[in-house]
Amino acid sequence: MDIITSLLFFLVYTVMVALIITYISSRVGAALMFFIPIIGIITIPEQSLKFFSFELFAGVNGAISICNIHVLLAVWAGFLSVIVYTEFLSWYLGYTGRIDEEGKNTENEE
Amino acid sequence: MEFFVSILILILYTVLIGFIMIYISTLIGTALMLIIPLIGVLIIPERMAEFLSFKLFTCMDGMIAVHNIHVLLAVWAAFLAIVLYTEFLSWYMSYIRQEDDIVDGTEPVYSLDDASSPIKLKAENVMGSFSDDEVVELNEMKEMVSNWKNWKGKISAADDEITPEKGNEIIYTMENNIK
Repeated sequence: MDIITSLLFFLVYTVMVALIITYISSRVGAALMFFIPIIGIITIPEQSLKFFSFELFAGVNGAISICNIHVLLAVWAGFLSVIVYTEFLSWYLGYTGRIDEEGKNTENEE
Repeated sequence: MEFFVSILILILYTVLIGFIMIYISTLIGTALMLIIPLIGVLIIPERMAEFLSFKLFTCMDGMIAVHNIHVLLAVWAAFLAIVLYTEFLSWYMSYIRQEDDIVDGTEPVYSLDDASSPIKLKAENVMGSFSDDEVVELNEMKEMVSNWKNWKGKISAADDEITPEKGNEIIYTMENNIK
């Protein structure tokens, strides 16, 4: 397992999930984001374990090591936060829009 | 370094950054988010290394270990993603609004007295420069044209109320008057 191979995998994985989230559906994208590694662990457990525990680099005299799984965790955190933020924003904008409409309606009735 | 202490520190850090981003400024929040651990590493390097390399849990037969630094990385990724997304959204919204303004035709209306008026510049290109009297005359003409346009608008609105029967009646009376 090469460092370039794992970085390439992450690049393809991230771009694919981002494109699915943008052009198809954020929920389908989030589901795929979780299912791809889980399916990988179920079908080829040894190879995916080797991939996830591959050490990209170590810092602070080897006390801290960054493996592939940690990069995957960071990618998950980034995408999940964007999706949750979008859902919250769309709910909030719909909520305030509804309040505005109700306000206008009551004004018209008066 | 206990498990709960590190979790508590991470929660406090996240909540602090979150509040700063919401109530003060996203840029200050992002800067603080990156600078707080850096300052920690610079001031107390040994204790910070101990904190960052503290093992929270292991999985898959101890092959994969999650330390505090990995949680910190995930928090950074999440906050940075939200900040970038917000910046992109606000840029995109202002861009869309600008395009809407151009489509609506809400361009600024220039007077001929205004030196930067594009109409005046265009007219000067064709006819040479205007004297002051000519500018006054042109403004009068402009006013007349706008009055005429208003009048025409009122007439065409009134036209809708004329039915074919009424129109025939009008033509009949006019013909009688001519006779």
